Amino acid sequence: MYSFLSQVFRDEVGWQKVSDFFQEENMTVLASIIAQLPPEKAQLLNQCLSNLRESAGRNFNGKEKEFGSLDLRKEFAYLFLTPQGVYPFESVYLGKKKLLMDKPWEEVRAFYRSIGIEKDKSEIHLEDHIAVELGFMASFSYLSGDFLSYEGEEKIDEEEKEFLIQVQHDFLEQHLLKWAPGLCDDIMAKTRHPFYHGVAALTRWFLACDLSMLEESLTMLTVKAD
Amino acid sequence: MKYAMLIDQTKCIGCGACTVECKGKYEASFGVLRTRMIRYESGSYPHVKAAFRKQACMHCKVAACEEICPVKAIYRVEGENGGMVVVDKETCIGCGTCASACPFGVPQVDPGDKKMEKCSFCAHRVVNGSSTYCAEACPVGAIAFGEREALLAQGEERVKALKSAGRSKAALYGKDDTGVLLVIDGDPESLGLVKEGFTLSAAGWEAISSYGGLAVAAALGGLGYRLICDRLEEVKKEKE
Amino acid sequence: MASGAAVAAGAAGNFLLSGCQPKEDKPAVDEKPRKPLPAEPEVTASKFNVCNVCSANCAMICDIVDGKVWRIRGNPDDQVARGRLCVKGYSSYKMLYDPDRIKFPMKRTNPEKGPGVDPGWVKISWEEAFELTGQKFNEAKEKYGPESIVFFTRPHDFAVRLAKAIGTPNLVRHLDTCYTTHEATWRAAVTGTGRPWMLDIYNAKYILSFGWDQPAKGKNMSAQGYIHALNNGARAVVFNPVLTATAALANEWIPIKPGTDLAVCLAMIRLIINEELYDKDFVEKYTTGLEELKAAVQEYTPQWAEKISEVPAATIERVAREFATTKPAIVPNHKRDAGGPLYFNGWRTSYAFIILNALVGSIDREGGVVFQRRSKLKPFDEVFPPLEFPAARKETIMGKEKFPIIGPTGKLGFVTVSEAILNEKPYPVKAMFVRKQNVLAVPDAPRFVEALKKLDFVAVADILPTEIVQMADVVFPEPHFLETSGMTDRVYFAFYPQIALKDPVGDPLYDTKGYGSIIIGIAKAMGLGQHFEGVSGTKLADEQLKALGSSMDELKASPNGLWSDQKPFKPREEFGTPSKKIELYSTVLKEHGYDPVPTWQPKRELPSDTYPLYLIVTRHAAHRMSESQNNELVMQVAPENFATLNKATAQQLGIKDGDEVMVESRVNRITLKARLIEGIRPDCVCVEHGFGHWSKDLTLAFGVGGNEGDLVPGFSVEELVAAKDPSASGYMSDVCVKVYKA
Repeated sequence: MYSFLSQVFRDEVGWQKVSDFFQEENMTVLASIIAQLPPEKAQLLNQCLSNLRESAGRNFNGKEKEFGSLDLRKEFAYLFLTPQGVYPFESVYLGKKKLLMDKPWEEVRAFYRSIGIEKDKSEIHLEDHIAVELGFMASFSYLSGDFLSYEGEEKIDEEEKEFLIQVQHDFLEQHLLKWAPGLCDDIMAKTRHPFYHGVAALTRWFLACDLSMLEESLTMLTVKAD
Repeated sequence: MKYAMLIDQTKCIGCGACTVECKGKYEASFGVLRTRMIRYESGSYPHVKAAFRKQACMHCKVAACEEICPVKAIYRVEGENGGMVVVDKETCIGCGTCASACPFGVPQVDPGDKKMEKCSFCAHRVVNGSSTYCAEACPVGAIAFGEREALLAQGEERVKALKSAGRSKAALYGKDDTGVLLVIDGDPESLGLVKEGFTLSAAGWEAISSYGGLAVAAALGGLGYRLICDRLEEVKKEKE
Repeated sequence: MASGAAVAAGAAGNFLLSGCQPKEDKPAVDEKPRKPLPAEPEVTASKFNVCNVCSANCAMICDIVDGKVWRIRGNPDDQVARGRLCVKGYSSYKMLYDPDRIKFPMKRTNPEKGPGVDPGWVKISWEEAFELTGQKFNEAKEKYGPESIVFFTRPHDFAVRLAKAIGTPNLVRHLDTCYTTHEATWRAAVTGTGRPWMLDIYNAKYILSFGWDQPAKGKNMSAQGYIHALNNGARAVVFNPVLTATAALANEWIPIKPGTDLAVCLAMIRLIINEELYDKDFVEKYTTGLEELKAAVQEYTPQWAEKISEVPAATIERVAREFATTKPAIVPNHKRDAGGPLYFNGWRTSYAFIILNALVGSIDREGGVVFQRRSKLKPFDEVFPPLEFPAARKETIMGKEKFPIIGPTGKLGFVTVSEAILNEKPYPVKAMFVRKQNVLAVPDAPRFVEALKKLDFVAVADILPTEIVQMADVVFPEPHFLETSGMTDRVYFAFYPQIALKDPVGDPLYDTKGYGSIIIGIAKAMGLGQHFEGVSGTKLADEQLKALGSSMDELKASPNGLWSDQKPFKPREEFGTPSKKIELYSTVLKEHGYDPVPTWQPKRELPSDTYPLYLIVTRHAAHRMSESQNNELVMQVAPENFATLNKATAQQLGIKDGDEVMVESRVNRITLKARLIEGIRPDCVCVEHGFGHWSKDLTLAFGVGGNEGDLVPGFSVEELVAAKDPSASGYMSDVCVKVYKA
């Protein structure tokens, strides 16, 4: 899930990625996870997913496998590359100066460093770009054998798992949830295209749900440890 | 008073280098400036004079803001009854009493964090032996920062030189009252400055304070007692 | 946190109850736990760079804190900066972090163009951007000839070579709005080549300014020099319709009538010659034509000049005598002073400046106007010898071939570009390559927008999504100057050759490419890659330094980021005219059919009943042309521009301070806020340049203030030829306006 969202915010998105995401296998896992949520939240997320699926179906066809329709490409540039759209950077959302590489960027970087990681040189976006932050969550949820990473069956010990979940929890709480909902609201308000509206709605609700699920996992782990 | 800043108004070109250099170094909301540049005019066309004044905290010897602050958020970094006047942001409740009491209209409440914002004389740099950002930045050397005694002498010398060059109104402003010394050419009023000798003595403030700082605040600044109480209540709630 | 809350609550309780409580009950200051003062951030690296905000190119030291620019200082060993920068340089790093910057190459999908039209951008790869541009340029070249492709840029070596390789003679440049008057007169009467850029104001004892206002515009070396000189007892007299900072700090401000400085200069020249106050030694040794000049200026008495300029004859006489008898004295010039391309008589005024400086022996002498001692950099064509270029047409859209003095420099075209494109004169233009030039800089900007609409294809290389980017078909994102490397020669103040290092402050923020790479990319896509075989900016810099006996590695290792060749200053004894002397009566001008001496000519437009006010244009010290209005730091110092009026004039017009007013000329009108002062002539309105942006992609700049350039008419080449002006200049303030409440 995180990986998909990260890719959608990173660059123009083609049919392949979208159809990969919506393939049966993936959806089954996702559905089983969503089923664990309280019914209200689950319904909301399912609604977001089906809306997105519908708009995606309408906007991709066989010819535009690589890029998606021209409208969708224009919308990507409008939303994420020109100032009339949104600034997908935590620094702009939370910083006083509305500039890049301001205090919040320093804090995001400090967070990555605190667990001993740094942005890859090949990553063209800044550390606090929404795609990079979501990508960070994707890596960690994969590692903790969480959610969608159904392949990650290898056993990891509980302590390590707790750490990985704690990191995700903290990053969500201290960073993503502080600004991504605002970003998603802005996208929903500004976009002229149902696909990005769907993506933003999904991101917004998914992040909130993920936090509560992570909290639950943490409580469970703590109980076990006790 | 150990330190002083000497600003030479007869050199200032009003470019704003001090403003941007300062603004870039301290966190505050857009438009909240610790030092700003104001153009003053006197006379009428064609007999007009103009000068630029760097408007920032004057670091008064006896500072109205310090005396009147209801929560004692304004204090001095070092030196008995002198030195740098700074704000403790943890304590500040953003009531704005200081702004209304200041004879130079300097303190501003940052609408972002609701804390008072003003020039600190770069206290954190000065205690480590550095100068202020603005003095280091000024392209024409109109701002000097250092030991007060030396700058007093430098200012007096400059005034003497200006006078001997025929500028009879040249004067050094702030000798007895403020941490900022200004070389001016004309009446203080023409630069929006209050007449010298404006500060009450420490004893005067003590007398007033003994009747309750709030009453003084209300009387001086027209800021209601109620307003401060409300803000205190708000802060209390926020902290809870 | 908890202790802070307790203190606040305690204090509150105390006060709420207190009323008249004795002082001792208040918490004593000493008892309060004060947070220690914050530590200054630790600088992790300091990088040398060169400011590219203006052409002074001050050498900078950029203090980096953990990957980010924290502070920029002036390099103390640089002759220009002398350890300080101007307000523009200090705030320049904010543009680096501007989230509005162009992030990736993009192409337009909406064929309709114009203000307020969404271009329908789509992100594309660099390859696609080059291919598309190459294809469109080649199409234009094949169908309409290579001259249908126009370069709208500064003359970067790479761009000039690409233009030559394509075979277009059309490199449109902005200098006819900037300083061609100075260039043309110095070229004709003194140098045979360029103009001097260096003013040794530092050592001057008498500064006579006619609209020269560099200190007020914050120009680093001029401001430093001016204040240094005044501090040393120099006397300054400023003729300016507006009481700017330069005028306010001077000993005397003389509010002269706009466009009449030439009359005062002529009267001063006459007096200095007639009273034999000139530097006889210098004039004898280094000039020719004194007798012809003397004869030509006899009609210009101080009384005559008073009638034209409203400056009392006695003042003109006194200042002329002071100027001629105080040494060293200088009439400084830079760009848009009274001798700049502001008025119909601008070139004559500039020539009069040269004569005044020559009469007091201040040309290439300490305290005067000095020829910068530049480094002898090996030319691009020597480092990378060119292949044979196709023959280009002689006729240009700028009319280069019609201006024998300024034409060969190629420093013209902005004033006439709109008419050339719209009227297809001398031939149609179909495609344009633009780099960091904006719509707002062209006189009558709305007409230029119409001209741009007429083109089939526009490619733009820039940093910010400005107005011209909104008119583009393809956009190439460039890095901010702090992200670039290389070296830059000292020009605006160089008593000896000196070169400054540019070392990037960090990795580029976006998917940008340097200008050189962009040019080479286009060349390759056009099938012209062979002209750039082995060519690179890095190699050029290195080869040029090697030719000077240094190298890029050596410069990088230099402790102050500078290469200097501290030769002593030797005043020039010979000049570049046919007589090898400064020609007070120019044989070159005469030969080409221009007036050989600066005789009187009024400005073109005079106040009328319809347009009763003179338009004066100035610049705020914090702003750089139309490039800095999206800088969050700059915009806190100078957030908008105004229509500045004299209080008495405003009263007559029923305008109050802060009112919205219309300023209208015969070509356009703009809306501004009124600012009322005493220090301006009552027959003038003064507007700061740089505002009036209509690109919605400039978040801070959009919709703020107005562009005074909209009020200034453009011209056709034919009209400029008819004006008999050797500088083909733009008359950027020679327009009258009316002001009324909006």
